[in-house]
Amino acid sequence: MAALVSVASLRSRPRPVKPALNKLTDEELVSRAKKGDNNAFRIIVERHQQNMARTVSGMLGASSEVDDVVQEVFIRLYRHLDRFRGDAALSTFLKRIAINLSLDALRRRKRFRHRFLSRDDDRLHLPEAEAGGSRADTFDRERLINEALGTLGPKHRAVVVLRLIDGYSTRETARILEVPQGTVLSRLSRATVKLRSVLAPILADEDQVS
Amino acid sequence: MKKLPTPRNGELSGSFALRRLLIEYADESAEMAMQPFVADRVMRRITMASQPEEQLYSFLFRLFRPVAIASLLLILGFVGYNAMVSRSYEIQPTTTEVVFGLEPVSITEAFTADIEPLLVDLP
Repeated sequence: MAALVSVASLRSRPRPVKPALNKLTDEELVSRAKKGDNNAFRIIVERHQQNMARTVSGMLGASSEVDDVVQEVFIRLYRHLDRFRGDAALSTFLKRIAINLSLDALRRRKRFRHRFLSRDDDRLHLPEAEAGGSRADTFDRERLINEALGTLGPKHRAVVVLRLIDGYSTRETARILEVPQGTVLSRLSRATVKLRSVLAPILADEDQVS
Repeated sequence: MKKLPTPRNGELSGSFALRRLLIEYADESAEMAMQPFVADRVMRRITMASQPEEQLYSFLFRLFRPVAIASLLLILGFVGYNAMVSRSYEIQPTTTEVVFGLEPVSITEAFTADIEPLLVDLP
C-alpha cells in the first residue's frame, strides 16, 4: 500500500517543464547551442533570418547571392559560437558577420565584372541622362534604387544599410563596422547626397504622396 | 504604410522619404532573393559538416593544402627555370617545350642518326 502511495505521489508530482525554446533570450539560446543543442541554434536562425536577409539584400540587391550569404552568416556563427561572449547583442554580432560577408561578395562581383563584362555595362542609365526630365515613372523603380546604391562604394553602402535601413545609431554603426563615429557621419553624408541626386525623381514623387 | 525604425540621431532629419524608399527596396529584394526553408538548409549544412566523412574530408583538405601550395610553387619554379634555359637554344622552342623543358628538335636532326659517339667505344 505504501509503495502504491509513493508511486501515486511521484505521478502527481509536477515534472520539471522544459522551457519553450522560443521564449528563451538570444543569450540563453547561444549558451544552449554551445552545449550542442541544435534546436536552440535553429531558433536563432529562425529568429534572425529575416533581419539578416534585409541587411544582405540592402548590400547586394535582389541577387541570388543573398540566399547564400544569409546561410553563410549562420554557418559562420555556428563555427564561431565560442567567440560570442555576450559583450554585444547577438544581432549586432550577426550584423557584423553579414556586412563582412556582403563586402566579400561585392568584391567577388567586382572582380567578375572587371574580368568578364565590358565597361559599358557598368554605366549608369539615369532618367535625366536619357530624357532630360523626370521619366522615373517609366523606369523600374527598384532597378533605379539598385543602380543608385551601386554608385556607392561598398563601405558607404554598408553605412547606408546599417544607418538608414536597419536604423542603427551612429555609435552602433561605428561599432559594427569598427570605424570612428566621424567616419560613419562623413560616409553617411556623402552617400545621402549621392543617393538623393540619383533618386531625385522618385523622391519628388514620394514627397508629393506623403 | 510600414513603420520606420525611430531615427536615433538628428542627422537623419529630412531623410524620411529616402529611408522609406530604401527599407521598402531592401524588404522587397529580400523577399525576391530568399528561397524558402532557410533554417532547414542551414541545419542540414551544419549536420553534414559534423558527419565523419565530412570531417575526414576537411581533415585531409587541411593536411594537403600546404602540400598543394608547396607543389604549385615548385612547379612554377621549374617552369621559370625551363624558360630561362630555353633562351639558350638555337631553335625557337614552342610554349609546351618551354614549359616542360624539352629541347627543340628540328626535322633534319630527327632523321639524322647520330651514332658516331656509340661507335667510338667499339673495339
